[in-house]
Amino acid sequence: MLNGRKKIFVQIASFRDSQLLPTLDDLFDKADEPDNLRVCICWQHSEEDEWDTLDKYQDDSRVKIIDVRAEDSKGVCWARNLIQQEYLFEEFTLQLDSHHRFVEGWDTELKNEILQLQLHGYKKPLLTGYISSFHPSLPKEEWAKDPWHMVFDRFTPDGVVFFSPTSIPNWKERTMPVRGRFYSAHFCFTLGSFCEEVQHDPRYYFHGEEIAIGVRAYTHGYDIFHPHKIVAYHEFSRDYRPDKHWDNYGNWTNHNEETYALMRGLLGIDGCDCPDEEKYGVYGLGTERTVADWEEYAGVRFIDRSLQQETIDGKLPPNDPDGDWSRRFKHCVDIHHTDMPDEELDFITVALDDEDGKTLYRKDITGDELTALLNVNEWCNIWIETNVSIKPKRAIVWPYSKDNGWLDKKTFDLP
Amino acid sequence: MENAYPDSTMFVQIASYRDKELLPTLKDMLEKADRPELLHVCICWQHHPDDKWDNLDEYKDNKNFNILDINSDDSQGACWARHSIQQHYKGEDFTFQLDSHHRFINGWDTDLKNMYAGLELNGSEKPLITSYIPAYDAEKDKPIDEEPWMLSYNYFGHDGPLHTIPETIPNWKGLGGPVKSRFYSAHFAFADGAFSTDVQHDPEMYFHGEEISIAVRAFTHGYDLYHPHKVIAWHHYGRKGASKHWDDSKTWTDTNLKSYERVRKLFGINGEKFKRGENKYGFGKVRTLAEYERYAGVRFKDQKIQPYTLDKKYPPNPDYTNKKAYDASFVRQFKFCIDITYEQVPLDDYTFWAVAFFNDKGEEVDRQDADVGEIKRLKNDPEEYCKIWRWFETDDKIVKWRVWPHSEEHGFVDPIEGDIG
Repeated sequence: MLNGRKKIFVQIASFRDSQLLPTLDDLFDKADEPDNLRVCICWQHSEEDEWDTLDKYQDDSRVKIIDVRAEDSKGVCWARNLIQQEYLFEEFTLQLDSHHRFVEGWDTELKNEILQLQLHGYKKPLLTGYISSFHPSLPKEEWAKDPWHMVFDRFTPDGVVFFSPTSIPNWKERTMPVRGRFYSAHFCFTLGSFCEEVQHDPRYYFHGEEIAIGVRAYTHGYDIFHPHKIVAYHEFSRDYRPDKHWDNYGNWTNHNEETYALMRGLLGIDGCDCPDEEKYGVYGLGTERTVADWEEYAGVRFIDRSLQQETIDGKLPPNDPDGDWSRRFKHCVDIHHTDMPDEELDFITVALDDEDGKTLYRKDITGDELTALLNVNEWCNIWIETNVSIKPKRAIVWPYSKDNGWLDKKTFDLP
Repeated sequence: MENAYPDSTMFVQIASYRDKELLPTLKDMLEKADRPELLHVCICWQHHPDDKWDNLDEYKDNKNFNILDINSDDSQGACWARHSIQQHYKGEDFTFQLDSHHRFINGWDTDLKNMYAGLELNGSEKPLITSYIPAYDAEKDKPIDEEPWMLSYNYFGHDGPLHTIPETIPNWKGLGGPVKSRFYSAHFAFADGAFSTDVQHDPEMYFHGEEISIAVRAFTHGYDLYHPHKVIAWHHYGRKGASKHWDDSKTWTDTNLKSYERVRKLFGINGEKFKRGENKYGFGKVRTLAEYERYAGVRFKDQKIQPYTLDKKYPPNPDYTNKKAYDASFVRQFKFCIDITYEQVPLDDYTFWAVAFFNDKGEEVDRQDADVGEIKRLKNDPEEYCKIWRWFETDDKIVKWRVWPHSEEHGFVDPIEGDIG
C-alpha cells in the first residue's frame, strides 16, 4: 500500500455538541487505520450538559483533549487555532466540525486522492468542501447521495464571500477530485504542514474565515480540490443542538466587526489597504502566489466585487482569464413580519440607491410573490439580485397600500 | 510523492510493416522517455529486401531490443504479428502496445505510470489505458491535434464487427483525470505486463473485429478501460502511399471474411458459435459478456445499442433493475456508407439527391436527401469518390439503397442503386 502507516492529525472543535461522541466513534470505526489517527479536540463544554462526556476517550493515547469551559470560549477560530498548536508533524491533517459521519475506509480514500493529485503534478493538494449532508434522525437512505462542491453565492454587504454547496457536475464520470475556488473549515484534508503554514487567525469570529483561508492557502501554493466521491457527511441544520457559541456570547457583534476589518484588509475588498506584516504575521499571505493570482484563477475580484460569468454559473476553475467581469449584487433584507404594515398591500417597491440617493435598481413585488413573502411566521426575507455598476449604499423597502397609497419607507444602510 | 513506479520495466510491443516511420518512431520514443533503459522493446519487423528505410542495425546488439525478423512476404497480418510479439513477454511490470508510426511527449513513460497509479488509487485494480490517440503529420514531423481523443460507437458492420470512431474528449479540461471507456485501441494500450498473456491477440483475426474483441475480452478479465485525459503520444493515420499488408496480400479478402466469422462466433452474433476447443482467445472469468453489455450499452446477438451510448455519454450506462425494461432499452441503428464514383454523378447542376433505403419487402424505410451543400462536400472528397453516410433507427432488414440525383436542367436523372449484404 503506497500510503500505509502515515499519520493523520484530526482537528475537531466542538461546542456543546451532542453529536461529538457519535462523530468520534464513527471516525475511528470507519478508518482503515484507526491507530494512525491523532485526534485533537477543543472541547468547549458546559457541566449542565450531561451527555457531553469524553470519559471513553480520556485515557486513549490517540486523543488529545483541550478542556475549555463553554463560557470561556472566544469562538470557533480561536478554538481551531488552539488545536493547531498541538500539531506534531503528522503527514496529513483533517479539519472537521463535531457533527459528521464517515464512509468505510475514509482515511485510505483521502490519502489516495492526495497522492493521486500529487502524481498529476499538484505538489500541495488540499481537499475540502461543503460535504454532503446527513441528519442524525434520518436513516442512511435519506442522506445526500451526490458529492458536492462549492460555488459562489454572494458578497455580503460587509464583503464576506458566501458559498453554496451543489452536486459536482458529471461526478459519476470522474476519476479525479475536481478543482475548487473555496475552502470549507468543516472539511479539509491536506498535508500536515498546513497546520503551521495556514493557521486559523484566532482574532476572527465566524464569517470571513473561510474565504480568507482559501485565498491564503492558495498563496502558500496549495491547490484546492473537492473530492469526487462522498468521503464523509456533515450535519448542516444544527437544529438538534441546544446552543451555538453566538447564543451564549454577548460580544459577538463587535467581534464580528473586527473579523470583517481584518478580512477586508487582507484581501483588499473595496480597495482596502493591503495587509502589512505587523498586523497579520503568520496569519497573512504566502509568497508562492498573490491574491491577484487567486482572483484570476477563481474569477472573483475583491477591489470592486466583480465576478466572471463562469464563476456565477458555477463552472469549475481555473477561469478563462479573458472572460468578462460584472458586478453582481446579491443581498437579503430581513424584516420581521410584525414590522410589516397591518393592511392590505398592492405591492412593495424594493430599490437600491447609491451614495447620492440615485436609484441603481428597482423592482416591485406583487401578486403571488408578495403573498409568499408576507406569509411567514418570523422573518420576511426580501432577496435582491442584480448586476450593478457601482456599489449600492442603501436598500429601500417601500410598501404601497391598496387603501392608503405609499406607506412608511424603510431604509437599510449597506456597509 | 512525485512519481509512482519509477523503476518499473515496460514491455513495449511494436508491430511494423514496411514502415518508413519505424526508425523515427523508435528514436522519438527513446529520446522522450525519462527512463529509456527500462523499456524492453519487441518489434515484429515485417520488412522487404527492396525497402531501404527500415534498417534496424543500430538496435540489433541492444540488449533491450528483441527483433523478430520477418520477410514481409511471410507475414500473416497485424494480429498474427502482435501475437508473435506477445510470445516474448518476460515478466516486465507494464506493457505498452503501439504501432510503428508515433511521436511522444517528453517524459511519456513517467506520465503513463503516474496516470496508471492514479487510477489504482481511484479504486481500479487493473487499469487499461487506451485510445485512438491524436494525429501527427509525418511529412512535417509535427502534431496535427493537441487535444486528447476518446472512442465512441460508430456502427455495427452487417458482417459482424462493431466499428468505433475517435473524437475529442468534450470536457477534457475540466475532468482532470482519465475517463472510462467502452473500447480498446491496438495502437495505444498501456496496462499491467500480465495483459500480454491474459488477453493475447488472436492470430487468426485479421483487422476489423480485433479491437472490439479485445475490449470485451479485457473487460471480462477484470481490466478497467480508460482513455487518457491528456495527450501522451500521437499517431500517424492514413499512411497515404505506404504499403499495407492488405495491399501486398493476395488472400486478404478470404482472411478477412474468416476473421469476421470469428467475431460473430465470439459474440454469438446471428446465433453463430465456436465449436468446443475451436477458440483459445475467449472471455475471462472475472466478468461476463452480459456485464460488458450492461456496462457499455451494446448488445451483440442482435447488434442493438442503447441511446445513452449513441449519445456518447461515458460508461457505465445507467443501471436497470428490471430485466424487461433493460431488454427494451436497446434500439437498432442502421448505419451505412454508400460509395459512388465521380463518373456516376457527372453533372454540375444537381439540386438534390434523393437517398433512400429499402427493406426485404421492397418498402422504403428511410429517405434523407443530400442537399447542395452536402453534394458539394461529397464531390470534394480527399479520396476522390463520394461517401454518403446515413444512419437511422429500424428493426427491418435493409437490403437495398438508392441514390436518385435531381438536376436543374434534366430533372430526375437515372437512379443509382446497390444491394446490401
